[in-house]
This record gives sequence, C-alpha cells and structure tokens, in this order.
Amino acid sequence: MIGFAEEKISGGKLVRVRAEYEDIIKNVQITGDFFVHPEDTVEQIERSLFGINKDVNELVIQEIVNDIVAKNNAQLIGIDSEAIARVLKKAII
Amino acid sequence: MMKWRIIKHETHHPHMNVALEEAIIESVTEGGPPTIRFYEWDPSSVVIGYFQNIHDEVDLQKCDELGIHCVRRITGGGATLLDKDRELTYSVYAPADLLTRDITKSYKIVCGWLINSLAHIGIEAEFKPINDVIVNGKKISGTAATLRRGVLLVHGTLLYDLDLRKMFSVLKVGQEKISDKFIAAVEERVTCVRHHKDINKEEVKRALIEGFTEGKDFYFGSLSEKELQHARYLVKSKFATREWNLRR
Repeated sequence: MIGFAEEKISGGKLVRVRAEYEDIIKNVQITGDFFVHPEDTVEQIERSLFGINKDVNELVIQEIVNDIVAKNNAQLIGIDSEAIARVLKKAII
Repeated sequence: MMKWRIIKHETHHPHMNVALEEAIIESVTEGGPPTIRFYEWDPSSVVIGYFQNIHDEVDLQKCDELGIHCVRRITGGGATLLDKDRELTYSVYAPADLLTRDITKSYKIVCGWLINSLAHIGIEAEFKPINDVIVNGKKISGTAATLRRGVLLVHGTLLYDLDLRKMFSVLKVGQEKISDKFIAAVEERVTCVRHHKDINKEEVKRALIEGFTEGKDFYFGSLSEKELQHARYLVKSKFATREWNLRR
C-alpha cells in the first residue's frame, strides 16, 4: 500500500510524507519546504524507518528521528521530529 | 579583517547559477575570499528546494509551454519562479565563523543587508522569521541557506516586478500552505519593488550593492576560471541531470 499525508506545521513549514508499506514500512519519502542541515540527514532518517512495523508508536518514530539528528548534530528549521512522526503515522493508517 | 569579493550583476543559465553555488562554496572552503554575488536568470526558471518533490510543486508541462526551466537547488525551502525580467537574486558565501554557525541567525543577518538595500530606495521592509523579508505584511524576498564544511551559503531573491498569473501557472501552491501563511488571496501575499517605487532595475541593482557592502571591507572581483570550470563540470555531472532534478 502507498500512503500520503501532509501538514503545514504551525509556525513552521509544509511537511509531506509518502510511505510504501504492508505490515512493515518499505519506503518513506519526506518532502517539503523545510530546512535540515546537513541536508543528507533527511535521507538517513528515511532509511532508518525502513523495516519498522506499521503499527509503531509515534514516540518510537520520534526517538529514531532524534537519534539520527543527534548523531549528525543536525539543525532542523521549520520541521521537527514530532511532526515527522505525526505525519508518517497519518500516512500509514 | 577579511576582504569581501563582490561580484556585480551577471546573468547565467539556471543550471549554471545553481552549480556556481556549489563551486563557490568549494572555493571558500579552500581559502578563497568570502563572496557576495548578484545575478539574474536567463531563461527564466522555477527553482525548487532541495527537499521538494518536483511534481508536487511544479507544472512541468506548463513550464515547457512557456519556455521556463526547472532546476533543483542545493538549499532547502520552497519553490520560486526566477523570472528573468522580474527577479533579482543574490548569494552570500562565507566561512561560518565570519557570520554565524546558526542558520536561523544567518537569515536575520543577511536579510538585514537586503532591508538596508531597500531603505536606500525608500522602501521600508522588515524581517519575518523564518526566512522572509516583508513590506507592509507582504513578502518581497525569500531566503534559503546551507552550511557545508564550515562554509555558509545564504541566498535569496528580490521581487523587482511581479506577474502572479505567470508565477502561479507554473507553481502549484498547496491550499493548506496558503491558508496558514496568509488569510487573504494569493494575490495579497506577495509584493514587489515596483508596487512601492517607480524605479528602474539598474537603480535597484545599485542599491543592492550599497546595502550589502555597507560597513564591509570589499573589492569588486569576478569569478575565477577555476570556479567557472568547476561549475561547468557540475552542470553536466549533476544539475542538468534527471537524477538530480527528479530525485524527489
């Protein structure tokens, strides 16, 4: 199945998530007009979500995202881990 | 104090303009001078943000019909139409230690130079976080930035003139975004220099140089052969390719 969700984050930017999934998440693409530095952090976040059970708790997604952000010492502007988790969950319902 | 290199208004092909961003960052990384570049686009081009999906943002068929290019840039942010007759653009490349390592602050600093430029032509503008410059509540300039290996790139646009019908015939604007950013119609969200001042483009270009160089030690320079060669290489290997432009 392919799911899609989007949200204009209050005080932030537009975040869109496309997800391909069955029982597990097979592919995720996060797009929008936000900023993440370094930019390839987003690709790392996407890859880290492959293989996760689709019924995953939103907080678990947040933790995964936060780990990658911390590892890359990344700056997120107009987007945050809560928003990524929220929109991804909406996309895979 | 490091001397800034100022590159006066040049016009380049869209692929070359986005490639020069990477080439000049590289040259500053290697110890080249901090640089401010002023430039225009020919042909006109939609430029999409690094993280955007090209099909979500751009009507590519309409672009073809109108002879408008479309290219992905190396910075995040939103899609914009860089209309060759209507838009002026600038880029600032500097070691982060010279400006700031905080990207959010970098917007405020560089937008301040643009606000200063607009003051030179009698337009009172203000910074609107995250990365916009507004006049009477309407956006006149958008900015985007990146930080690579300690070098900061902040680039932005200044709307000299506006053809909203053309702009929104090629840009797809999500309803959700419009409703949050401004309650009023699309036409009431943006403005341009000519709506506030009857002034020719050359005078605006001069004001940009004045506003951006004020208080800086600088010289007028040009792009080096190495930068141009590197940019030409990047056009072929990256910015003109489908892999890059359709990657999201």
